[in-house]
Amino acid sequence: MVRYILLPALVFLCWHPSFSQTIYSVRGIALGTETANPAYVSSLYSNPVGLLSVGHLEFTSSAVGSFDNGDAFGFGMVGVAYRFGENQVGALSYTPSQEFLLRFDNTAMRPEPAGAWHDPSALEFRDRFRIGFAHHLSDEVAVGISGRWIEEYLHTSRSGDQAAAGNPVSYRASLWSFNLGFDYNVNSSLKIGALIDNMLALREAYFPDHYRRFEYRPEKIVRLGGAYDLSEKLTVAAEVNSRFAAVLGYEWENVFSVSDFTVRQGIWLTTSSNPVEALSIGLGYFLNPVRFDAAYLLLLGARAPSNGILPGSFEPLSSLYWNAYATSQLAFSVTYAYHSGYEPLVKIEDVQFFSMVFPVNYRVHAMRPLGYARVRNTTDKTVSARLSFFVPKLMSSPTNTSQFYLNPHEIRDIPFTAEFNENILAVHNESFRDARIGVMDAEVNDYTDIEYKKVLILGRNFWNGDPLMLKYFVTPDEPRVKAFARKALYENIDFLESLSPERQPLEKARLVFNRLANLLSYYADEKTFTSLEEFDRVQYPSETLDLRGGDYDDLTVCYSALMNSLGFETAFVDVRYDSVDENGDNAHIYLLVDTKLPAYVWSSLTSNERKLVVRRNSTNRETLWIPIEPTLITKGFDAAWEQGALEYYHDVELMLGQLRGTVKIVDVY
Amino acid sequence: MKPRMYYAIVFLFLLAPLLHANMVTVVSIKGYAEVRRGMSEQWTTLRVGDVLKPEDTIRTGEDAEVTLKVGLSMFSLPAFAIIDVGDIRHLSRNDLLLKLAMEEIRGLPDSRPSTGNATPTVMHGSRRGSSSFPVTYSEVGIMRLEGARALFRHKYYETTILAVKSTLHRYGLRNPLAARRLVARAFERLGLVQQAIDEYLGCLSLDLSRAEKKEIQRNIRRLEKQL
Repeated sequence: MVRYILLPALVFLCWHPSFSQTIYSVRGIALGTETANPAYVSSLYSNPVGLLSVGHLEFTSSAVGSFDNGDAFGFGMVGVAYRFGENQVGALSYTPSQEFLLRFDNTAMRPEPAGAWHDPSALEFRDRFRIGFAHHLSDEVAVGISGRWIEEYLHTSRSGDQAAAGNPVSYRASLWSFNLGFDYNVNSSLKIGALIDNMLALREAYFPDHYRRFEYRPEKIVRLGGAYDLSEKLTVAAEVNSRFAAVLGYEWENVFSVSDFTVRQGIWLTTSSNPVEALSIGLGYFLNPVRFDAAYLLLLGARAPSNGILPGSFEPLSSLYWNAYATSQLAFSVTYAYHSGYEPLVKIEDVQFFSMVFPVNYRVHAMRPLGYARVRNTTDKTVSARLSFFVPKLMSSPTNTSQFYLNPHEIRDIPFTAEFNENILAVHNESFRDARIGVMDAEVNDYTDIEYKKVLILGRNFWNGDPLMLKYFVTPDEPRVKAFARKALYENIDFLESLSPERQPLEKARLVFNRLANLLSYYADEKTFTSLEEFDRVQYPSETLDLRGGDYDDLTVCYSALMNSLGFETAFVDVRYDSVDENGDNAHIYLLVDTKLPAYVWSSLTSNERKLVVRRNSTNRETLWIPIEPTLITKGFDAAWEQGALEYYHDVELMLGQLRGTVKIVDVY
Repeated sequence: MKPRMYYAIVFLFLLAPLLHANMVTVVSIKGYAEVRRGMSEQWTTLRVGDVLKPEDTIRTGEDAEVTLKVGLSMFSLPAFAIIDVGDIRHLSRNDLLLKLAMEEIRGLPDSRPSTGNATPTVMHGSRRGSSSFPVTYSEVGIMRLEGARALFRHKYYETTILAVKSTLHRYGLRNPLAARRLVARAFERLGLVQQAIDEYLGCLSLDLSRAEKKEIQRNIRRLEKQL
């Protein structure tokens, strides 16, 4: 129903005569700059990379009014953008009545003899068509290009042509101008963008030579911008350009706790004597699926009147949007995100993710739901459907749910899983990826509705502090790990063979640890900060061996993998403290290594029974486990064992950590 | 001096003993006693005035006796006993029951050898250093049981139970009846009647004399009346 009300409104905005004088992205006017974070169809008028924010199909219409120029005429436009594929969006806009009109003062004009050229009475520019295309080159980089066709009309009160002397006449010129934009997602919070305005201008028709100085001369401007999410609601944007001007702006979503209500402001700064060139403010409101935007631009300083221009004083325009004759303006736009030409059988109402994706345990998402989609049966009959989830490049094919049935008009939350491929382990930094969530009619296996939603993929080394996740960093099958562990034993094979079977496990643990100690050093952890949470960064065992060092979790993981590769089971002892230590940590992890020896032979390993932990291994046998504190790597095995035992006795026996939930023991292998 | 200052001094005076509540100090030693610090494998001579940490272990020789000051009270360790200093403390009933539940899960089914048969006769490293104790493996179990009895006498019933169960688990004893009766009595003192009955019932499965069996059954009947 909404579309039937709003489509006429879009057309009305487009055709309705308004007091316009220029056209631009309404969001861009309010925010000041859209170079780094453009969005919607209207990004055709700023950085075309923003077209990639379009979900499926999007219509927009806008109108701009000038307060200081009542004669200026309607500048409405209508635009449409369509997503061709996962990574491509194309767009087109049309401005049927758009003009940038300048009137000249002809009152002082001297009568000219026939055959002379007369001064112009009016100059009119029409930004008729724009066409744009945006493409994701990679998950972080996107490129967009847009072209526009501009018509120029020069009107004189009398012709200078001998054949039509004395009659008013108009001359027409036209040109194509192209913009090229880039966008780079540095991380989940920071984007940078670049735009070359009027990178290429191709003139196809000229005014007569006498009037060439009135032709539009688009200036090539290079813009560099950045946008940073200070919080989930607040984004700040900045731009510098080759005109030695800077623009600053912010966008504040859900402001005053009003959901879907956005406030934007911008300020234009120059190096001239009047440093603040303009101010802007704007509002946005999203009433699904329609977005309303408004912006007011206040140009400061003296402006040249667009009426009564003396032809001799006319300065050629280098920009239709930003020139000496541009005036303060009020802009509105209505944008409608149109998903398909018919009401889908089953519609996706909402998509939510339960968590971000940690590449290290990507396999769990094949079993454990990553999120859910709220789907609605729009029909009066029961339908069967499937939900699919897909992230290009990181998944080989969409992961489909099993078939489910929806009663007439039923709304239900359907959890979905994700089978990522190993490409996800190549993701080094956190990034938002476009995920496609589709619901399909199970009878015909055809999508009835598709939603695109950003999913946060963290870097391969990110760890959220959960010991259950840490075990996924333990990769005993890596050739580098296997080779290192085996070499430690082969180098001492004679010594090992001389030992009794009870002593061998302990001595193997000692040999591997001490070989590691000769290679590695311990250094305190560095936290990784993202906009969302604080994470630890954990090295995979082969990385620790290559880098020859790591913090406590790196060393714990590495030693665990080495022992696992030799067939020893290990377990993490995860301890949580009430207060933080000097490194700012309130948690610590150390290791237990299973000797596979029965509990009653403890005295063959040590005279202090508390140096060994008795617990069950995967075969359900009660065996002796050696507690190891890997941070004492440089002090050798005995010190690490003694310290590990002391910590275990303190944390588990004295403080009853397992009972109180401050200690968690997680079996690795 | 202002009244507020008086109150502060009085308060600090009252607080001072509490600050030492967890400190364990050796007050007197009769005979020969040793201490093992933390996770060390070395035993060293215990001396009067030594301050002990919870992770330390002490043991006494034959005819020896050590008196410890634990906070504000005294603790006496008799001859031929081993005790972990960390066991000289009270646990809440919940902590005890949870700990026992975990131990029970851990202890099923038991893989320990039959009483003393498969165990080494001499402790690894027990003759090192200055130790004068030629302690065998089975003797350690007996000494630990004696330490548990000391805990019981000083009303540390929770750690008595844990210490005895741990000793039974690690060392095995030729005749575990005395140990299990000690556990049952500690349960009784804590008011955990059902647990005490269960412990006595467990004793009935041991190889008992008629008199011992009779006494156990009498205790069970007595306790059942309290349920």
